[in-house]
Amino acid sequence: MFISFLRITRFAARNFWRDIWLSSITIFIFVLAITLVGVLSGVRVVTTQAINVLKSKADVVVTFKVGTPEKLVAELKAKLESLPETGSVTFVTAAENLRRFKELHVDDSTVIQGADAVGQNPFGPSLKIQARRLDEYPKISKVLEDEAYAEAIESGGKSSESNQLAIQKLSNFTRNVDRFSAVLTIIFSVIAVLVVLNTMRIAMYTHREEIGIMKLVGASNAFVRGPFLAESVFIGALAAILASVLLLAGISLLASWFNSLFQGYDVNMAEYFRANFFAIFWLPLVGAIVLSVASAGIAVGRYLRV
Amino acid sequence: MITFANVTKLYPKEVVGVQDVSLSIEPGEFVSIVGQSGCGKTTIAKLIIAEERLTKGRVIIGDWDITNVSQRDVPILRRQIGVVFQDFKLLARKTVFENVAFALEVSGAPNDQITTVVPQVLKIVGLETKHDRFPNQLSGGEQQRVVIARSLVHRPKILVADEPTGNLDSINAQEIIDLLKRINSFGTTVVLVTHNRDIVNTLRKRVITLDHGRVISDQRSGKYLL
Repeated sequence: MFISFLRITRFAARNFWRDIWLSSITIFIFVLAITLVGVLSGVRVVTTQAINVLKSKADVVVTFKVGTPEKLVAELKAKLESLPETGSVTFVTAAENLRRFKELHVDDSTVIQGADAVGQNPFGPSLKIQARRLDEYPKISKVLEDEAYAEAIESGGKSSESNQLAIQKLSNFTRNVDRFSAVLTIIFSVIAVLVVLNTMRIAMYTHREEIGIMKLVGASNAFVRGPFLAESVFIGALAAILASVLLLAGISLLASWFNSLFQGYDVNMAEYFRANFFAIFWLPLVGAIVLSVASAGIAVGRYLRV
Repeated sequence: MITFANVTKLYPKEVVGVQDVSLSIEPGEFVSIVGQSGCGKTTIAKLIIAEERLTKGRVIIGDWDITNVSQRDVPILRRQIGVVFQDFKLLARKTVFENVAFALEVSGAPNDQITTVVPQVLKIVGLETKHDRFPNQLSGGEQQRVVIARSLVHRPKILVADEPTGNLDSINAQEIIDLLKRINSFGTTVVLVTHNRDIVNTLRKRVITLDHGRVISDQRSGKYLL
């Protein structure tokens, strides 16, 4: 059994090498398909990360009037935190708000002097509220409209519309990328299947004499079919490896661009791809082999009379 | 050893291969099946190795009724029957040794069996010194001897030779027939399909004559009738 397996592999390697141009074209088509799907998956990852960044930025900041008792703010905070829609609520004291203001305008002495000239802290306390989901902000806003708190609130209560718009646009783009990826994946898979099918058909025609002799001298059906199936494994595996190398090289080249794109946020695209390399590598590998073997199986079943 | 019972083989469009053929070949016999082109000689050879399926009747090889033999069992059958064809069917890119070893390789024989058996059969056919030659470096007779060597590697009980001398001159043809007689003398049943009158007449062995797919004569020590 093992010796037959070794011989089938050897025959397949020899056939692969003898029909190297045909094999190369088949691999090229597979590499093209896998790379394209990989690139589209990459685009999807980038847009998803961008959406996450925007979502993390999306929040509601409620500023209270100067002199608002911290007890009232703490009460509102507790009420907001009890809502299932709320992700997090951060309480910022009036003193902290003043410190942050000064830090932000450290190079602008006029503004700093103006703030000091008021004589007292011109800022009230504030709450930074993040919802679990973007569409849950209206429910949170309703709590802020409660009469008990509305009078103390200076400003805020609504999420940034520009953020929501950007998120909406990116979400639409991601959805379109998904659809485009699905259509292209199907088209290229069909092309790859047809190419492998015809490659195997030509290989069978080229080796018809050898196949005839094999059958004549008592080769088992598995031995006649085996080399073609093993050759399709070579084609799928080589294509997936080449495509993965290409994608990894592309990611490495674009690493600095990715990082500059998300500068200041907790996102490292190159690192993301590296960390997920095996998932990114194994999926095309298994996919390409399955597709290639399935196509060869169809060709063998249809054209190879044993 | 080989039994045909009322065997009919019809090809598409009702073309008759053989019709109502009944014959029995005993173990160790040397039988010539003769007749003009298209009379059904090759059909009989193909039915013996299950390359064709019969339309009616029964074919039994030894104790094995191969009338409805499954595709899975065909390789097992073919390892028990050596086959020699007129057009040699050798692989041009393989040496004599490799061509003969090929039959063992594809049937899963271990390497030590290959290195033992191949030189033995090459010696039987007188090609032990030419084991490293390629087919195009051999004469027609030598190429046919390689084919015979290949057909012997499984130590078959039956050897079917379909027009083995068709592409050979009279000297090489006689050498091949002598080789087949020698193989027969070891106890192998030989079925020779031929339309070579001289060979059949000098053999003085059993002759089955076919005409239009039917057996018209079966002589124990016969001559070419048609």
